[in-house]
Amino acid sequence: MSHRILVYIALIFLTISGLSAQNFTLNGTVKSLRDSSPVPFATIVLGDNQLWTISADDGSFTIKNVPTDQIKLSVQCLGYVKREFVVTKDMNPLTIFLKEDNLEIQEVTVTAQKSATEVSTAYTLDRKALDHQQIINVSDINSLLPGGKTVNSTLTTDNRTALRSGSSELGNASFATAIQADGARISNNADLDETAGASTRNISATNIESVEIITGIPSVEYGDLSNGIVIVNTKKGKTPFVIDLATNPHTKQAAVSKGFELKNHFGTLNASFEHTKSYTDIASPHTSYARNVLDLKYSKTFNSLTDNPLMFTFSASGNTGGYDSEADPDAFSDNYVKKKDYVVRLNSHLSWLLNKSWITNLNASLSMSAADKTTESNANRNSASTQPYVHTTDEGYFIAHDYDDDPTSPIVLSPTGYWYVKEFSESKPLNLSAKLKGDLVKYFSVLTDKIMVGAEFSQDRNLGAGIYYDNPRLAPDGYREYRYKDLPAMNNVALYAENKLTAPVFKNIKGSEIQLTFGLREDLTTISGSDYGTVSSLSPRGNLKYVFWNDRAKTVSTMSIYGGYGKSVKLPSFQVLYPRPTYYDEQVFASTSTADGKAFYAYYTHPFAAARNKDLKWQYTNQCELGTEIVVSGIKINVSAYYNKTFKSYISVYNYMPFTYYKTYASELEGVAIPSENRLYSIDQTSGIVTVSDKTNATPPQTLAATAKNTYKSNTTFVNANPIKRYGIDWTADFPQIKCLKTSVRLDGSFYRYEGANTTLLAYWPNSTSLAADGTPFNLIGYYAGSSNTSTASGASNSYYNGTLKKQLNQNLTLTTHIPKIRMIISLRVEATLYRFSKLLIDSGKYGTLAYASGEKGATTGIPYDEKMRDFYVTVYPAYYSTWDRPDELIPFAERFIWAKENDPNLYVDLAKLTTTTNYGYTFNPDKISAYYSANISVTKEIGDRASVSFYANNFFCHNGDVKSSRTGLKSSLYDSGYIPDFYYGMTLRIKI
Amino acid sequence: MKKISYILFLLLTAAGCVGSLDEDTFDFPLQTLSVSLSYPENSSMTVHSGVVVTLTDNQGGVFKGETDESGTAVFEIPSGVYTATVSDKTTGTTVYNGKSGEIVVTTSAAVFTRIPLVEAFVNKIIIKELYCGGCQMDDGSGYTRNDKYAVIYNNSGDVVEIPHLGLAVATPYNATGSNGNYVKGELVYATEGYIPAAMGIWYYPGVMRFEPYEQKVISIFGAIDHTQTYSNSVNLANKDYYVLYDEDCDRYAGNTHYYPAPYEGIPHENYFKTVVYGQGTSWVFSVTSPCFFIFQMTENPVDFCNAAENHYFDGNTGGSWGSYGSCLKVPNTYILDAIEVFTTRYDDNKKRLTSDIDGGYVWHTNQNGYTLYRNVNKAATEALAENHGKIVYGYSLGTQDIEKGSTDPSDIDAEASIKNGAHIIFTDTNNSTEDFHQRRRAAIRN
Repeated sequence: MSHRILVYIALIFLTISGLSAQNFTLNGTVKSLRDSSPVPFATIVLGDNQLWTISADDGSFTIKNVPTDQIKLSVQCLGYVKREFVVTKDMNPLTIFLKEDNLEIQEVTVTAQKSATEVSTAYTLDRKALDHQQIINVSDINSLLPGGKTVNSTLTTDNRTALRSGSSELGNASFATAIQADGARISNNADLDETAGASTRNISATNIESVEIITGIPSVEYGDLSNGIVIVNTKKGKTPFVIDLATNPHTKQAAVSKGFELKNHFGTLNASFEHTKSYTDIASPHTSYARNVLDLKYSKTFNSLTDNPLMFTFSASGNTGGYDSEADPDAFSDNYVKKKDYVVRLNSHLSWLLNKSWITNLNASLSMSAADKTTESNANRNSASTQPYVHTTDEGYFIAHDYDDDPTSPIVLSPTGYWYVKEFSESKPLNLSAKLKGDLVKYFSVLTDKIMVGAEFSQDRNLGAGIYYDNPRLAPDGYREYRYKDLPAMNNVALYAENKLTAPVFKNIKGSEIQLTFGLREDLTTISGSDYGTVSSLSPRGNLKYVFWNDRAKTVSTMSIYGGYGKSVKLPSFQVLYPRPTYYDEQVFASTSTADGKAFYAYYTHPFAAARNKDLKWQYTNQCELGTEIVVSGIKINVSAYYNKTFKSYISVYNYMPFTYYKTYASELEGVAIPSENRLYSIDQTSGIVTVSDKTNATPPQTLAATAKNTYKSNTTFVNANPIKRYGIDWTADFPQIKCLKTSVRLDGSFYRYEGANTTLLAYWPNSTSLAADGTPFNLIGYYAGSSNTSTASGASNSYYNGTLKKQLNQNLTLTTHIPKIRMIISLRVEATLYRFSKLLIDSGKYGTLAYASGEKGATTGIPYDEKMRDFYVTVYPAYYSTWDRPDELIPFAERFIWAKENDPNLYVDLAKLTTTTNYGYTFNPDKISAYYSANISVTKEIGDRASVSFYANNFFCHNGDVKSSRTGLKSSLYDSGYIPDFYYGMTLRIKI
Repeated sequence: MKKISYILFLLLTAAGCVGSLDEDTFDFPLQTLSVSLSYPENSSMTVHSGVVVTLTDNQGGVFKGETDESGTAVFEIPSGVYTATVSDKTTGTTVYNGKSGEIVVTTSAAVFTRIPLVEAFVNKIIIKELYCGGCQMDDGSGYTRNDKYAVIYNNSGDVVEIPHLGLAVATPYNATGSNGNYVKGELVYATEGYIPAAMGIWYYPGVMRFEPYEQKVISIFGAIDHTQTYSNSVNLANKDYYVLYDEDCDRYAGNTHYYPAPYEGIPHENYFKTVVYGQGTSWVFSVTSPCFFIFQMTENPVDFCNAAENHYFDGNTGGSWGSYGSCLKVPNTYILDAIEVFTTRYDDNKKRLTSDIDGGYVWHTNQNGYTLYRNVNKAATEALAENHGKIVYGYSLGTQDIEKGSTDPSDIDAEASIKNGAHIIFTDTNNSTEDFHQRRRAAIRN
């Protein structure tokens, strides 16, 4: 640890304390361009968030101690277009006019814009773009990124955001993509059922002011991520009363919002309420997801006229609603599923401009995000026979009893007939965080040095009770209580420091500048009362940007390059940290059924404590990035290339343990003299011996003979998988507007390549083949080089491939026609996928040749498989196998298999059952999908200052042509293929009062 | 603008004309399809008249025609894709079955096709009944499906002993949906001499003895009294019944929904055993359209299943022995009887049995308590002297009144006649279309 502290100290004091330039005081007034009326509550920022203030009621502002003769100034106020320019001392005092942000102005963007000030790749979407695209769910924004593909938005599908990744890939990309709303992290760490990104369905889409998406290397300020971050900022300050009404075939939305100025200069309060409801089936609009979000945001700036303004912001956001199928009349009787999506997010934030020699700004925040994601289901059940409901939590043999006779019996018998089971799955994740951050800006001659130091504490826990039933006697087979609230919290303390150096390079070249950012983040994760202890993760990140020149009167007017390297660590989910305890239940006895369908069953139960892997490492990604921003003849070009390598991604695997149990066959009852109606069954917990007693005591008890049987017990644990590689290029090219057509053209696209193969040695027992060749239970375990499983939801099993190679080239064309005179904007977007390639991989890792090709389906031998082979059936061997007798001895499979063919036919048959063979000859053929496209249109028209209407139609050509797969040689329709959206449309009406 | 208005007017007028056409004025052009039969070379049988040829289109429509003296049946039919099936039982002793591939009929030219007939295997042990579609639940919440049973019957006056009576279903489980075992319209095993049995087989551990005209009721799932919960269902808690229940198969026995402990009155010697080579926690028996067959084995069933040369992999699934889609080649010579069931719920039914095993299919509407029941061979039954005065006529449990329903053309009520002491000889042409009908009620509910 000590060496790390030294590194921090070195970082902090790396700054060369230099001479300050002569300070001056900047005075000014912010006014509306339309009528020169003052604009209060405008935020005026100098430099890189260095000095700032808020305009007063009369629009005036003062910033003292401005350290340089010229400095960049930005002015921003909700409802106005942001302005940025360089101010010099002689411009004092300033009058800044702001244009109202509507379609009358010339410069309107409805696409994701690359953030020019960032030294890494980041995109911003403002309210106008969100309105124009009629975003319903934050996860829809992926479609607006370079090369993004439109999806038909609905809330009934809980799409998660995942940046720079694809589906069915290792690395848990959505889980590793962070979501932050108004400074509060929306964490999904405390979910026990999934390792996936946070749901964004409960965020009000109409109340978003802007979204920033950092796909590149983020600042060390951001942790607990490894695939980028999406930062959502909601509206704040004084805003008009706005009514939003939106509809599409599956979704209806109504929202109101207004920002008030409170009396006596008590600050502003922005309030918003949104109701959105999506239906699964438009023909039966009952099963639905509803969102009812109330957002409140209070802000006040203290000391705004002094040198040390302090801005306080408090935001509260709450959602009620969720999924509900109860009202569906098509559902049988009283069957329903209700999934709550209740959320409360509170965040308070202080920004204090101290402007001291040792600190410039101090930021502090406290946030809490609490959710109730309880699922309630009611389902009818029926049975003609009594069913055993095993709830045993102790090890040993147990026999079922009637619930009425013994409600506490480890195994109870179900009723017969018809009944309902009401189940609750209560999950209440809670995330708390506290942040403290300070920065200091210093100048050394022309060098600007901004140091940021911060600390962050976050805690994830789950206050849910887990699964329970309203009537315990009807709790189904296999149910055991598992209370989430008893699990320890995951605490994370992070310390970070970052230094940003900015310096002009050539005085005579406009804008020539170099920016260097480097930082370190240390995460200390502690999980009390667990095997994991305290885990330390160090994340160094650095970016370098060189601006050759900026805004010069040349063909190439702007040119810069940037690059960076960073490591980011993703903390594990509770699903990974706390795998549920598992119980192995083996039926050891079944009495015969009486005439009324009652039978008594006995089970051997072996409880497994949660298999926590103390060697588990936190997943992390090493990111490299290189980009450029060029403006050529007015064409703004951004290109960003990246190479991300994710290490230690989480996967779930099985463990097997051989054991012997004793089984009593029902045929033993044939020798029992006690009439069946008088029989009482009991079993010895240790020996498994079944005793039949006579209720009437007329006949002495009889014990039944038991037979020893061998099998395996299994459970799952989480381990780390092999590294996976992703790289690609994103680009945008914005052409200047064609004046006569009032149309601008944007080309954006992406190339993405993923290669991931998991060669982690994993065990699998193919118990589907229930018997060995000699008729006994199957007694071999195969050890395979990886698996195709990319989800943490279930243990990895054997498969004929263990990886995937994917490549995709997307190119979009957007034509945006903006006619300020009639306040209308029309955008036509053609989304083309020019290249889509995938291939299944077999990576044998260090285990030699494991895959063999044959022309015959089902063949277990062949020639060694080569990636270039086409149209072969491929069989994959495990690397090793073990026997029931000697579970720890790993026997090399291939050589033994060959030997057994000639020498041990039974073993050969059994070993053959451990091989895995493709179903089709084309399975491993490269799959190139022929190019396809779709086209979308969006229109927004403002009707005066009070109303605007937006309309969109996705795939409006209703293109449902065929694509051809090179793997199979077959054509398939694009309709419902998931490659392009089906024809879809929607409309929004906004009224401003 | 005028031009556009004019074009619009013309289009609307044309659309109006088309829209006003009376459906009756459509005249479907017909085309000639000639289906010619050929008998096996080593057969003494030659082409002759009077053989019924059944054409089925891909929507389930049926056309029937008879051969002329040259052994050719001629149809005048609309364009479409057809399948022709033939079951020649005119000789009274040997049955010849045949099935064409897909016949595409267009208006451009007459079509001629030839169907090679094969001699069908006819055995004394037959499937008398298959109850597999389930029935309505009493609370109206749906239907139960775990009350399936089959009745195996000695269709002769002889004592018959079957070593290792085996039960199997062909792949795929349902007649509808994708069938990867077809290549260019033909089953890949059409001439291979076997039928692939999906997932696993059940077998009787010893020799099963059938007295003359004796039947064995076999509970496929749940040898309990289902009627106590589902009043429309069946009571399988009967000491004389057999049951598919193997305590050594942990996967099945642990699935107590499908395999509740059998009724205490059923002796353990009536339990079948299983060999599982596919995947699943119960034997998959289609509730809509199974293809069920029974067979006998002289060898050890486990060895028979383990032998690699007997392994078959379903065309759509399965590549490894033990994976989903693993099938066992059951030689045609082992097969005693079979029933091919098509569902009325979908149109894309495809046959899984080859013509020598079963040349047809029987339509089935599940979820209503209907059962598939064998037709009575009227002539043969009436010819038995001991049946005099015991045969009950006036059969009323057919389902000919529902779409694609059927009844026993003999008009003999087999169950009532058996109760009356008659010996019934059932029709056995190895053609489910001819041999089975859909009965309104499970026979064991009588």
